[in-house]
Amino acid sequence: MDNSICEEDIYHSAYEAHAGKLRNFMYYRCGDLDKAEDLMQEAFIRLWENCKKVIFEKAKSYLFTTANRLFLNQIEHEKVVLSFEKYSQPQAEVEDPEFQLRGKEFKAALEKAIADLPTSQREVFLMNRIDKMPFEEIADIQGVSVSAVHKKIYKALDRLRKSVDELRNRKI
Amino acid sequence: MSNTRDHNETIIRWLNGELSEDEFANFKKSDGYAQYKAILDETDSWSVQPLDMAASYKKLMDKRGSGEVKVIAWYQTSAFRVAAVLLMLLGALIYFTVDSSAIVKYKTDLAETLEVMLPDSSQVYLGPASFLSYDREAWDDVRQIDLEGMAYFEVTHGNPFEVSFGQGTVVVHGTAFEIKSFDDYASVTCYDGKVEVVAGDSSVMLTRGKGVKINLRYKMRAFDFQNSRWSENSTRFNQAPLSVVLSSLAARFGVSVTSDEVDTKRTFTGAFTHSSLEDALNTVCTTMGLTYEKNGDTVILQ
Repeated sequence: MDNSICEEDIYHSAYEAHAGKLRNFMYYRCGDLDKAEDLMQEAFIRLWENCKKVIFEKAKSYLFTTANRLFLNQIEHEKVVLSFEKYSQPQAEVEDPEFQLRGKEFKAALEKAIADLPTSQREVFLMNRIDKMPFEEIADIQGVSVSAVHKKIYKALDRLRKSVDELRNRKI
Repeated sequence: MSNTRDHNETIIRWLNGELSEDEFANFKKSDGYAQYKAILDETDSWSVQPLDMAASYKKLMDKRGSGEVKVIAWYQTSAFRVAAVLLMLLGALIYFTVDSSAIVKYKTDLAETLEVMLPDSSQVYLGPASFLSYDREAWDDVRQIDLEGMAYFEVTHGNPFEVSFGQGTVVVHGTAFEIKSFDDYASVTCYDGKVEVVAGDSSVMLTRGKGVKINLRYKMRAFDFQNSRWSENSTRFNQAPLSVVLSSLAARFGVSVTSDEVDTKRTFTGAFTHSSLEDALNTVCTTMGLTYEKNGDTVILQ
């Protein structure tokens, strides 16, 4: 009862906890950092307006559901271009030296292949890999079963692998 | 097929770190492992440009305001209108009935428009051949309106305000918007403030100057419109089927329009005036490359 979202400091801690991941979630969808931040903040404004109805424990799923609803339909069909900050140091361990799977070209091809994934696969994959969210948490946020999340993950991996194979075939 | 299923399951268990040593050794030898590993190693090292939490929170506070909790915080100024006008009957025949269930209904006939003042002083301008109803008893809790046809709204500050029409629902966050709802076409245009349109599984937030069209499959397409001020003098369409334009025109002027020889599935973008039937017909016909013949209350398009 005392953890009311209507309390400014509780609200702020909800922001600290969820704003980053929620912004990223919107970014995976629309590929625009500013727009992603706007949508995230709009969801937080809704949370404030409904602070009496939403208990603290439910704030996260409320925020993700709301942002999801707010996401403008019209940009879904636009080409999504994502770009990530990457570490450039070479990976020490190379499983198969035959593959040139560490180069710049690989990074660029992978980035594009991820942007080309169907939206639902892309967001699940990136939430898991970049935001390190466990499958259970993603399922909870999206209101789907864990096996549905699994399915999206291996479908995404499968597609990405095909893109990587294409890159390799071009080089040979 | 079951191989694929096993393979997929193995991938998930691998990602969860649940494989035994033997299983992992096998998986390592399997086709594609090197690629999977490379893809994951690479993406795991990526990050999205971090959010500047302090700056971002400040921005949120600016947007949100720190005052008391409000349901609608947009464009409050234009929302408070002087509750002077009661009911203005602009047409001839109006049905105004309050039946036992406290449902209030307004209906306009062909060529009629009606200005309705709702219990909270919100204004509705009901277009021709349209029907509007709400539950007066529930009004204080939920401002919920059902609409068939066309109406323009100016909403005062207060509880959530929702308008349901054939294809969807509008949730109001601001003040002025217009709905055109027909059997096979609907559009919502926002003249001021913010409205949220919900159709099927999706929703769209409209701001000033934005509109959205909704088709039979509840798919929404957004558009911008140029005159961002409500005009009582013309009806504007954006790629609407000609059939919709003609029935709107017929309703507006109280005529019947025959268009048997015309392909009414073509779309029309533009506005027709309310000042005279001839001008309105000229606009539509010139745009669409048609001619018309007027015979009393009947207009025949060719």
